[in-house]
Amino acid sequence: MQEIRSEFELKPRELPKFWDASTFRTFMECPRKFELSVLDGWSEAESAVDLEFGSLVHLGLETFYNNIAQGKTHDECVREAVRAVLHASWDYEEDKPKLGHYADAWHCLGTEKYRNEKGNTAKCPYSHKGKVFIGPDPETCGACGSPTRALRVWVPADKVKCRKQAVRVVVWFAEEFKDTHLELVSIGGQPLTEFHWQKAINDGLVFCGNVDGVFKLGDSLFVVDYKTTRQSLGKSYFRQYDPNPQVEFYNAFREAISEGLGLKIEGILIQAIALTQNGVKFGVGIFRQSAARRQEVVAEIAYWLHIAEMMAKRGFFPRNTSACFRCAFRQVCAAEPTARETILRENFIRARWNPVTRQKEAVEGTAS
Amino acid sequence: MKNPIDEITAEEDAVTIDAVMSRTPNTIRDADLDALVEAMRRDRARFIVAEAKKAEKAEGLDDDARDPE
Repeated sequence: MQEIRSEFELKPRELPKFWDASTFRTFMECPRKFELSVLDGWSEAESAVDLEFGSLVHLGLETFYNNIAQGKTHDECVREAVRAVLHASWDYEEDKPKLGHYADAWHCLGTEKYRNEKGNTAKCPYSHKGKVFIGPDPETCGACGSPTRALRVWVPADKVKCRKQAVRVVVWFAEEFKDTHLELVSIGGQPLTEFHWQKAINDGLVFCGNVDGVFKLGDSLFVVDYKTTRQSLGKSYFRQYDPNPQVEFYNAFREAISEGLGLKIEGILIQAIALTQNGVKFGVGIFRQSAARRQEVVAEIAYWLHIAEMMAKRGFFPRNTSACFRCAFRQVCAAEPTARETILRENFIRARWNPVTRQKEAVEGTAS
Repeated sequence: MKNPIDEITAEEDAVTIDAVMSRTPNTIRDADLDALVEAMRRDRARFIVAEAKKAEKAEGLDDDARDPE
């Protein structure tokens, strides 16, 4: 009886005023995920690396293009972009790089004879060129008895999304697109990079977003969005962007994005950056949508907002259990309702994404 | 003209990159930044060569698969 009564004692929730593509995507994916992340501000602690790496790449590319707009040489622009990434990824308080830590390590000097499992003489596996082992220096190698050398090595928090990779993305990107026909658009000497747009619908609702850049390709103008990914860049990678909530949201509001700029934007251009441990690959996908398709998207957005308002009034955001695969909150929703708050407090931080500042911000009145 | 990636090894470039990147950024001179950029450009050239070889090998395997003779 208690359970039934509690269904009627839910309190209305207040919806956010600012909705960006990510807010919509989260709601469309799962209303409960929307409640946990957008309304309550629960966030995965480890996602900080992804966010920080993405910010570094954006900063590097923005600096590169801003310097191009100032008329500097290609090499000067690359140098300034690299400088910006190095500065932003350095912890000046502790005087060490961000996105990782230093650790003690050791390497076998391989001066003594080593015999492998078959009893043959071989090079000690702990003395191979470039091999270092994290941990305190044993002084004598346990495998061959040679002396060892103590080292202090940098251990990135993520081998793919690390500081060196952020610099590499900037340098390689500048090389890759050096002689391209893709030109950054400037207005009055001001390059159109990293700008925020808003479209107020009423007092309580504003659609918004952040544009990485406006670029010209031939006679057409495109909103460019940089995407870093661990996936390889084939047809299947780009298929995910049509249909896609962000691409459709930006296409639907492309007039709002270019409002006041006197420009006619014709679509979205995804500049994909595929990251591996050994290198970076780049790819481009263009997504234009007809007026009829954009009208369909606007109608759908209005529908989803209506549903969100109904759920907020009722104070109940149901789970979409068909979208649990890979969801960070899977463990929360799989637990007993009474245990969920504890799981959230133990495994998540309170840091809400702010679509206006494009930052994760601590939720007021809570310890993160 | 000799290709720069034939003259400087990947290990030498890795040392250059690590040396510059481990320094406090406001002490890094322009010349050091340029050396870092050049090392990373050579890294890219090596990566492109390696990827091309990989693609060539994969193509060869495909041909073998098509032609059982």
